[in-house]
Amino acid sequence: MRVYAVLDCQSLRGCPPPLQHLAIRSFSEQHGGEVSFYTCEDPLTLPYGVLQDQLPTIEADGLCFFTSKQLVQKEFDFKFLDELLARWAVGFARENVWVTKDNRHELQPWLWREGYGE
Amino acid sequence: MHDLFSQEYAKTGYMVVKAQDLGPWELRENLHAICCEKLNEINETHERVPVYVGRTARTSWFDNFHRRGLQGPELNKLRLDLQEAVRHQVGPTLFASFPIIERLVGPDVVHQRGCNLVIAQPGDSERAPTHRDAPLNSNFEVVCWVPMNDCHGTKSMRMLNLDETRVALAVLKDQGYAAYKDYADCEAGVALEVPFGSACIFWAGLVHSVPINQTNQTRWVINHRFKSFWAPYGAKGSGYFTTLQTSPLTRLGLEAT
Repeated sequence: MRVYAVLDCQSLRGCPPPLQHLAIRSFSEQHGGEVSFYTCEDPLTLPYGVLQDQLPTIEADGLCFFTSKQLVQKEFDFKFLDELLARWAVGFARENVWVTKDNRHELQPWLWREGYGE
Repeated sequence: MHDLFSQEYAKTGYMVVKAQDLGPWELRENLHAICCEKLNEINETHERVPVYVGRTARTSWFDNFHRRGLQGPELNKLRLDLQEAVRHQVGPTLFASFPIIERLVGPDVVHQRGCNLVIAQPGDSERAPTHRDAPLNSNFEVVCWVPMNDCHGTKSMRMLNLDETRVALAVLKDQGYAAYKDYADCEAGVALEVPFGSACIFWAGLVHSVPINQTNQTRWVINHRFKSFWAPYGAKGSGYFTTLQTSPLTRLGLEAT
């Protein structure tokens, strides 16, 4: 599986880019994936300005975020997740979970724990 | 030269300068040797690299790299391996080859621990988006962008100057990423002309973008960041950097009891 990595610009202080790359690469490899490219937002393009621009040209089977918090604004953005799941498997390295449109419920334990249930 | 550079840099935020020694050549030779070794490791069926002598032949090797047909994860793995192999050489080499860096950041210098190598093959749509390095990186950084072969047109990078960057950021705030990208990619900026043996030294806050390489040559570029030991470190923190040199006074001050 070819993986496109999405670093979290809001976690950089606690986890700088080399560590995020390492986490995403290691997590992807555990699930049979290999990272081919990556992107990262600018503070002015949050939440998904850069990523949305890149989506049409991404040649990958999966998108791997550093953390599912990248999809949290006030609430977890299920609409955007579903948009992504229509085309890719989506992974979250920090939460150690890959989801597809068929098993998106596997993200629920983390979401409930964090108070972001549907 | 330094005064001219300062004036130009203050006006534009970037400048293309020639190396003052053979550092880029040494770096490229090393990169080439390691790459040949790695290519043979990856797949014995890949084209064996002939031993070239001379600048033109070596440039040709880098220009024609895409003919090996490496793509996606395989290309990325090679890129990461090469980055790791040359990372200790890159900072000191570039700092020595481009003395203007010291003039910009001062005598107490840190540089990034790793280095970034970009291999952009013709037509590859996976590329860095229109962006600026700071504020996620420090606003006190300079980026040394050093091609390993001649870069021009879509084989190069598109750079906005300080005034254009200010406009671009206003567009981003007011109209969103698509309008910002249109402005930065189409209306403003220039495609840098950077021959091998030169570098573009630019302020990390400048907006820049990389077009799809529409030439028939592969772009090879190393980019590396330098800043003052004492200046703020940005969101990536001090762990992103390692010390390159300190002034005698700084050493006295730090060692005083």
